[in-house]
Amino acid sequence: MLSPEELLAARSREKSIPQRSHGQKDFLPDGSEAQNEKLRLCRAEQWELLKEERVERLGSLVKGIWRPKEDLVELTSPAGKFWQTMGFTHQGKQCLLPEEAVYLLECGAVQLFYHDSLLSVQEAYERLLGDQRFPVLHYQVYSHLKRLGYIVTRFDPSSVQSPYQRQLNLENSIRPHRKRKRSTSPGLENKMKPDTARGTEEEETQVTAVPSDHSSADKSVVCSSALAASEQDTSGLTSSQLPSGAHHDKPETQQVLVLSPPQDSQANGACSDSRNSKASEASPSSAKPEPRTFRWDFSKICLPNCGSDRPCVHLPAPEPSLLPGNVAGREADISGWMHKLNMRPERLSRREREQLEWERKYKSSINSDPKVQKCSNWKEYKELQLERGRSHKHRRPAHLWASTVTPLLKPGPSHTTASVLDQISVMERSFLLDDYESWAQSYRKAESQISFNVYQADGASEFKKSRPGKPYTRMCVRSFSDQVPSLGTVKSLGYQSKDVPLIFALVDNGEVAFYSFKDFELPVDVYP
Amino acid sequence: METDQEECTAGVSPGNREWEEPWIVEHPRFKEMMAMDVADSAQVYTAFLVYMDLLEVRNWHDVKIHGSSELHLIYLHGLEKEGCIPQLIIPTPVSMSYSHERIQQFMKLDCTSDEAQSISSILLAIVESDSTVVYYKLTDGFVIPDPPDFVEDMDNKQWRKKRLRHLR
Amino acid sequence: MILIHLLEGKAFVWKADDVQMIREQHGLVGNLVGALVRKPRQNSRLGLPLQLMPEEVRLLVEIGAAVLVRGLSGEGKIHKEVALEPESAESSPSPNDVNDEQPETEAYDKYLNESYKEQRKLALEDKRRTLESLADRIAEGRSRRKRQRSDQEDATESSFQGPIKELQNLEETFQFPKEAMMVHLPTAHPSCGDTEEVDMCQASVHWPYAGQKEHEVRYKVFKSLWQKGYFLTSGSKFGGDFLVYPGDPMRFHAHFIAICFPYKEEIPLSDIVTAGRLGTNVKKTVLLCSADEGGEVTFTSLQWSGLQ
Repeated sequence: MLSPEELLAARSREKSIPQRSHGQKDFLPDGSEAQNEKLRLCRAEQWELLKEERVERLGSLVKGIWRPKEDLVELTSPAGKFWQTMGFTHQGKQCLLPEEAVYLLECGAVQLFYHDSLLSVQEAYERLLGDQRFPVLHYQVYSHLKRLGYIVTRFDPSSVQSPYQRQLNLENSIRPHRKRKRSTSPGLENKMKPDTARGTEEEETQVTAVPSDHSSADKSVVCSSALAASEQDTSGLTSSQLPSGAHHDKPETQQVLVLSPPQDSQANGACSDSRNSKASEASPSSAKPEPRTFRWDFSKICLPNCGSDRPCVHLPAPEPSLLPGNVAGREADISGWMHKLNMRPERLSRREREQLEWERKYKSSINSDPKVQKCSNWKEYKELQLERGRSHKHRRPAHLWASTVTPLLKPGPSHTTASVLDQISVMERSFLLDDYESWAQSYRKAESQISFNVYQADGASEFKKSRPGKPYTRMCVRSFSDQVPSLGTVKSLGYQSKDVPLIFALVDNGEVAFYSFKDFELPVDVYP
Repeated sequence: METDQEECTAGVSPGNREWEEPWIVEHPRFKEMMAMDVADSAQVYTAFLVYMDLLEVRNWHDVKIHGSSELHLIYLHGLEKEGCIPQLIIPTPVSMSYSHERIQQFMKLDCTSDEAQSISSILLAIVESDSTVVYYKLTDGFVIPDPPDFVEDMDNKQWRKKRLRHLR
Repeated sequence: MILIHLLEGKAFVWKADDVQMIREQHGLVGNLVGALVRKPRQNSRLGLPLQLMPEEVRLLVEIGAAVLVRGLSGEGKIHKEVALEPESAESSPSPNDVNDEQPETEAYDKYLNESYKEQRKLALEDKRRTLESLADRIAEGRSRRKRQRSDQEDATESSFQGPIKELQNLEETFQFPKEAMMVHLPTAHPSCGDTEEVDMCQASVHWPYAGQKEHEVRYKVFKSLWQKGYFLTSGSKFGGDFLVYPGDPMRFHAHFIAICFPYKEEIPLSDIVTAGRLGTNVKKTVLLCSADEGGEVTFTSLQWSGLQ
């Protein structure tokens, strides 16, 4: 123990840490006096720092008593500012978890007592930490994060929904209010002050965290519903059978997307047809719109082609019945201004030229097909297509198509490089959180567990112990000498953490390093 | 026992005989290496690729072919530039595993064939499955690395970066 | 003798003097893992305890510089406390039963009171000294001012009387609230009782490294490099076993990334390439280190040749 003189002297102790200002490190020791002197200074500075003992004003210390049986520290004087993010109330008393108590002791904020004696930091380590209570490894990660200013709480697996709960769509029933708000007035919520937002179910931290999460979820909905639509065409798979959680989360958005094609089927008719023929061999006529009767017979109406390739200089007088009463039509000879037409040379960008070049090589216009040219309307064209499709099937040589092994590609115009590559890909792409359920079978009990929720403590966050909101990240603590976690472990832990990123904190001889596993999408660069 | 492993783990698998291209098989150097009859065909093929790489790509001088029946190995000797100290090259497929003991044996090859050198070192020519070659230098004992170029500058930046990356 | 305390298989040194001796006398580094007393809420400079690698511990013990002990107060006893009836299991320094209603800090409070009296006395003397020197200066200033404008006795003058007056009845008026007293939160356990020496040759829960093949190779390599005068730290940052420094890491950059292998164990070339790559990037030489059964250690430097 320090003497009263030493204790008082500590009041006027240097408060800042010296900058390591003895120049850059040297490459090789040369035994020179200059190098030795620098080393001596560095070391002296270090020992001075290490020999300093914790001396605090009694008034700024919170007292706590270690209760090993209950595995907590009971505070016997009112908690300090740390109470905002640490501690809990147990039987009406303010208490600290062992790791919180040790950390606060290291910070010189609490005094810990056990059996009428003051605990040294060393004793606190030995009594409060350890395999039976709170592993030292975990404490090293905990204190590392705390020293960086993060708010760290123990992870409670029950706080995260089980897959079953998620399947039951509980989340939607928990947060419908906020969702609706967001979809009606995006951006409004960001500006809302916490007090106005308090009416909603969540803390502001969560609300502000939502936009990014929401928009990314929306994206995935777009993809998956598009996928669902195309799959429905081919195999009749309904979207509700898809395991994706995003589907269940956002029924409204999805509905809009799925419903949209029928709503303006007139405009989209051709487009959806083309998708059909791309996705499968489905006959185009099945989706053909009902032929309509028009007031005009377009086959009789002559629309002159004034293009440079087929000059038609004589324009006959228009049918008077087609013109408004007060307008008179007459024949015209346009040879006089033919030379003024199509004068402007086409200027293409390099990209357009390349595109054109590519099309010239690999694409043939259906318009150059004489049979297609003969078609005077869509109906005829589609009948021709159908006809051709049938005859293609007939023409397929039996030795190729009749046996069990058939060619990879069916003859047809709709193949793209990407679709061919897709077909020949041996392994399907998978994501970290895909297919968790089947993994869970074999890895029911993960070899390691998530240890901490980590929250940012900057001005933007409004962490409250009662409503912590969505963590910034979650931590899984492991020793550096442990095996790299198996894919099963990574999957199940990642799934447990759900939309909160999971970071592995590896401790090596007291040093903490952070690693995470992330989905990586290889860039695809084939021409579509 | 080792040859078996080499056979199946070599960069060019024996099943895939594409390397038996006529020009290689017919190449006098390849024939010469095969005729030494010290190593299995995968190692010979690797040695040949390295030989060609040194001569044709890197313009080495006086590249000579040696064989070691004890180590079941074709190895090479050559000069990076004229007037340089001759170096010993051990060609090997990337799929191989070597014990530290064997690496030390490679280094002893040099001492026996050459007059005493102050440091014994070898170049490990590692041939990838796509026949690219990377060279690593192995030296007995301690070789102090090159001092950093801009100690001052680099250090500061790295330290700052490190601090920024504390968590992520 | 340096005391190394084992906790959960991790070795800690709690005394600054020991840390200094480990570094300066024995050329070993370790890793500070606690909060720095002067500035606890940052990670760039840490404080006690110093955590040692198993190899460092073994070396210190083998050269007779340190003893490895295990505290009996913490982990070991938890089983007992839980299993047995609570009262009898608790080996408290004071035999009286702990009562929840009573303050459990009686002895400490007594110590605190004594310390308070002392501190108050010291603070009082301190205050007197400052006031006295202040009073001197005030008196000096006043006489100077009087010389300048003797006619004006200005009102502020009376306030300068303060310190002098205060000095007169300081004994009665001196305020030193108990909250203002300073207390010591010790880092290391003051006494080293209640510990048990750990046998490093015997593998146990507390010291699992004994006889481990990996540890044996690492230790032989570690000791050999240490004997050559190198400083070593853990090398996991660079994917190796140790980082090897030509001098104290405070002042020198590491030269080597040491990777340990049993002498006859096959190393996949791909691993060698990976290590070489990394070493090149950080301008360090990769050192392949092996120890054979006889204890002889072989070092081979691996560098990218620069041929591209």
